[in-house]
Amino acid sequence: MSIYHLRRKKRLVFAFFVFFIFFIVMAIRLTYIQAFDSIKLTDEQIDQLMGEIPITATRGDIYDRNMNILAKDASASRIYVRPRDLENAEEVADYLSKILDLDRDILYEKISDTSQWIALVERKVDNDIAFEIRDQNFKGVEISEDKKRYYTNGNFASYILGFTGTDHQGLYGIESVFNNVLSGEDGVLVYEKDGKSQKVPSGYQVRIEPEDGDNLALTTDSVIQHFLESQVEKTVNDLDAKRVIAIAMDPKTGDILGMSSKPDYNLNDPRTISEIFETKLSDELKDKNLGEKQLAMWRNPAVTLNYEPGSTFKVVTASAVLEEGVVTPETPFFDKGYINIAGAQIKCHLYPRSHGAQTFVEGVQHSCNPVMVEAIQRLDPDEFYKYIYNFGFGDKTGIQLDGEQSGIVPANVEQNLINYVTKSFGQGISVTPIQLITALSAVVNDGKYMQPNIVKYILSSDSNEIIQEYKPHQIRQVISEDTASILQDTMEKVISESDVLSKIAEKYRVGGKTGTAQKVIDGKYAQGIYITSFFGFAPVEDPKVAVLFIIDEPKGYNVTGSNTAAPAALEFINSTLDYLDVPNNDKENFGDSSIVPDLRSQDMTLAQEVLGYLNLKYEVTSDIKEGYIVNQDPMPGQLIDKDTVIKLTLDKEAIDTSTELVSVPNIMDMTVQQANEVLRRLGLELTVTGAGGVSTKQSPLAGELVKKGTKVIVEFKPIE
Amino acid sequence: MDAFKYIKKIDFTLLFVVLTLFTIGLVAIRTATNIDNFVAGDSSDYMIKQMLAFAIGTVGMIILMSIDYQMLGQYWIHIYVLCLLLLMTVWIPGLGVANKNALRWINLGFVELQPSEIVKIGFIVVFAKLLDKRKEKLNKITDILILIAFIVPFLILIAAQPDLGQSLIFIVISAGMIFTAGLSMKYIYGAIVGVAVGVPLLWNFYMLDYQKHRIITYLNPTLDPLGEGYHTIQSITTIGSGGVLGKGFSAENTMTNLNYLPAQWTDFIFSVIAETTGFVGASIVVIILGLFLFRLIKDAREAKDEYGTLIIVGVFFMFLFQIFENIGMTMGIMPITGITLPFLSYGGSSLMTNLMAVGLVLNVYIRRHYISFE
Repeated sequence: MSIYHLRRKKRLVFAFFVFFIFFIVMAIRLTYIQAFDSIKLTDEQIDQLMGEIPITATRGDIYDRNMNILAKDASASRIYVRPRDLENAEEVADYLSKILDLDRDILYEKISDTSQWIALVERKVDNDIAFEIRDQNFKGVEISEDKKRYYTNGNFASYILGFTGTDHQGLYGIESVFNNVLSGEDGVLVYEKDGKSQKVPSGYQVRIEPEDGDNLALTTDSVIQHFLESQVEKTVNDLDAKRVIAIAMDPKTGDILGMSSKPDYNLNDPRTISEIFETKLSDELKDKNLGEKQLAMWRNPAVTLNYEPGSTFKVVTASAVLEEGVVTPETPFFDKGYINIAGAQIKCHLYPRSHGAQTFVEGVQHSCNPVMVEAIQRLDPDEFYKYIYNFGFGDKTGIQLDGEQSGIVPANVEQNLINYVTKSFGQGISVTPIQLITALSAVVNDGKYMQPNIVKYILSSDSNEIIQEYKPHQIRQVISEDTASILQDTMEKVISESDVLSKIAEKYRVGGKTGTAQKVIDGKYAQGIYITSFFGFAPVEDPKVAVLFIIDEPKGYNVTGSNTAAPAALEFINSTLDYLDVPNNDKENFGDSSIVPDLRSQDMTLAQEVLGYLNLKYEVTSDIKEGYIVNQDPMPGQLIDKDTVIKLTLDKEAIDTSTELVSVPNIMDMTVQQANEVLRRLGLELTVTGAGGVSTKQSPLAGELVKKGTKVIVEFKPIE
Repeated sequence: MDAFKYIKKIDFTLLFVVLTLFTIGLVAIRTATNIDNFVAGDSSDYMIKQMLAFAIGTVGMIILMSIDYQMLGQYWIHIYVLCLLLLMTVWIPGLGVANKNALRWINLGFVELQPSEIVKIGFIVVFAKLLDKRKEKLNKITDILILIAFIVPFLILIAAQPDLGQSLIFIVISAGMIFTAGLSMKYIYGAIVGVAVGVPLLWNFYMLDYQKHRIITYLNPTLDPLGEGYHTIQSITTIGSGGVLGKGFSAENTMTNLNYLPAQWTDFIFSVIAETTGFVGASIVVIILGLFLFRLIKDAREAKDEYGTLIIVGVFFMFLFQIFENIGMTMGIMPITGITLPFLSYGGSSLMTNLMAVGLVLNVYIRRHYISFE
């Protein structure tokens, strides 16, 4: 046996040991993994088998007081990409960036990052775009369900409604304040996924259904809101003003009927700053970045603007001095055009002319500063402040809108006389529009200060049952009914004794008060830059609507509240009262009407009487000559010539009016008001969309037969 | 009756072990392929192909067992040349099959074969013969160089396909055989020190990251392209979640069912077994594999000459490396390569090769003769 032979025998034994060691190593490792680490690894396994997809809850709808839809969730899509499944990332990036309007390079980086299983490309994509993407059949591009918020008319009531963010959360306005009510509870889909992160069709699946958000009904009336917006828009343009703010309120309940500020923004595209906004507010937006500009744009001036009210505040002063009895309505005053206080001269707006001898209420009516200054000096400042606070100044009104400011009421300590007396005519004190209209509405409402309110109901998501109602709530009686009544009369005289204003307001009894205030810029009164305003209410005998128009920097020579804000507000009041069917002073003669009356289901004898009264010709086309009218041609509401013969079809029995069909009239080229009238005569309801002006579209179309009570959607556009 | 005499001397334990492993493998392949969303084809196809390969391999085993290894040794130069030619067939256009930039397979029309698998058998026979001839000349550096020159053509051809796993197997087989043949310890220590010092030095100080990565991916393009380690983690999770008793064959939410494992019917078949049957099942498989290797060592000792011993030793190291590398890879202690688990993994070429390797062992074993004083 050679040395090699022996060596080989040993080596074989050694090989056995190598094998033995390997065997032990494997056994230890296997035991470690399967016995010691088993529980941890089992957990990890279960974890990685679970996929989760959030299911966005449907956000509640927002309606106006007549249940016209203002904001609604619609189904949209979410676009995902699975980077590892993509065949051509370049091509997909090109296509998606183009159709979704995204930055191509950022998108490419995202979808070519193969360390991720799945990448979210875009949320809230319109379904038609999503379908287009689907039709491309790109491998690795996935589309899932999402929700998108739609606002029926982009700019309509934007400051009231607000909008939602990427996570469907309310960001501004009602959307933000009532987010908890509207948002509901998101659900989740837990599913089993496989090694490719795909859902296992046969696997278990747990779906926690989302709880849809509740709906809201606002106190606003879309038609009134429409009147308001049209008027505000028109005023901004006519006066070339920086901004116009208007609020309409039901003075008896504190319900906000409309609220607008222009320029505004589009709720369906809230992040774009319109050119008009940028130009109009260029002073304020100077040197600001996009984010700051957006914040400025989204702020609702109706509740956030602090401004010096000027003469409209005299109503508050008059309330205080009359209520405290330091003056009576007939207390005589003499205005010599100015008054000297502590060495300073306070002028009347007529200066160098003057009002001469006048009673206190005449002084208020004439908006005479010296009278107010004299009257307020007779009142203990503490008493005056009590009224300021009781009228809600210096504190938030608590309206359900975001960002509300408190106004600025300087504390009543060590005030020098000049600072005190100027407050009597609304200087040296700042208020917000919502504070002022609420306070002056209290005077209109016989001294009862109502909580301003913009939400009427919270309605359940499924059945629209009322969950919570915001009832009118009287906070306090600020002044007596008598004092209120005196001031209402005084305010009526402001209109009736002005030639210009009484002409605009001839249809109804309207009361109001104008205001012209120099703007405070950088702590000083700026020469020639004004905020003019007008508070009005009507009809005086039974007020249905109060309105405040504020015009920020109207351009032109000698701008005052009466030649800027008042005409706009009065036009609005006229339209609104017409719409609300308030009896007016016009002697309307139905005999001159050429609108076809609704004779259907009427008794023939009665119809004959009506037609005779209206002086219209008719003809019975059916064989039956007596009984009830079942059909007529032309249909009710249509405009006809005097000699048109109305053809009537009769039957022995009347048809049930509740299921009665009517032919939709043509309502093109009409104002909101006209359209409303025509439709209401036919028993149809008007749903307004668009942005004021005249009707350009209607649905259903003219001539279609619909049931009574059907809503006719009409789109209005401003006249170019 | 010579044939009958030989049959009586067959290592039946070894055959039984092989049959058991194959049966377990069949069940595991069925489990791994008979799942929802299985993308790579029909489960029964896999079963039929695997059984067919077993039948062919068994025939190959019997043939290889019948031809006396001494006679094979006489034609060692012919076999050597034949093996190299066989390795080159993958480059013949129309015959070679490219898969992810690697040319490892040839298409014979009815079946695809992996030449580097089959060639291992021939290599073991001829290298054992060479070592047998030079068994007294293993002390000088020139002796070593001759051996290396003999191996290098194989390595070049396989590395050029490229196939890191198979290259490693050839190196391990050669090293194991040279070691057992009685290489002077000074070279062994030298090699150990050289590798221990040289590789880390080279890797850490001379190679740049992208070069390292390029080498890894060049040598093994099938390596997980989605981030190294992902599959290792998935495999460990799979094995660990099997627990002590396993999830059973009817469990639904298994990693196997949900396609978390790459090529679970071949490379990761051990993970499937471990998940389904737990620690108990996985241990049994490891023990049977250990028994298999133990039988090889035992048979090697009983060979009648050193040529026979070296053949079995070559086969032993081939299986030792494959088993340890494959199971180690599923448990995260070895890097991921495409090396299959003998008799258990799906794959015709490797199953046939492994059976023929057993045939080679039996060839030597049945021709042993005890020194008899009768």
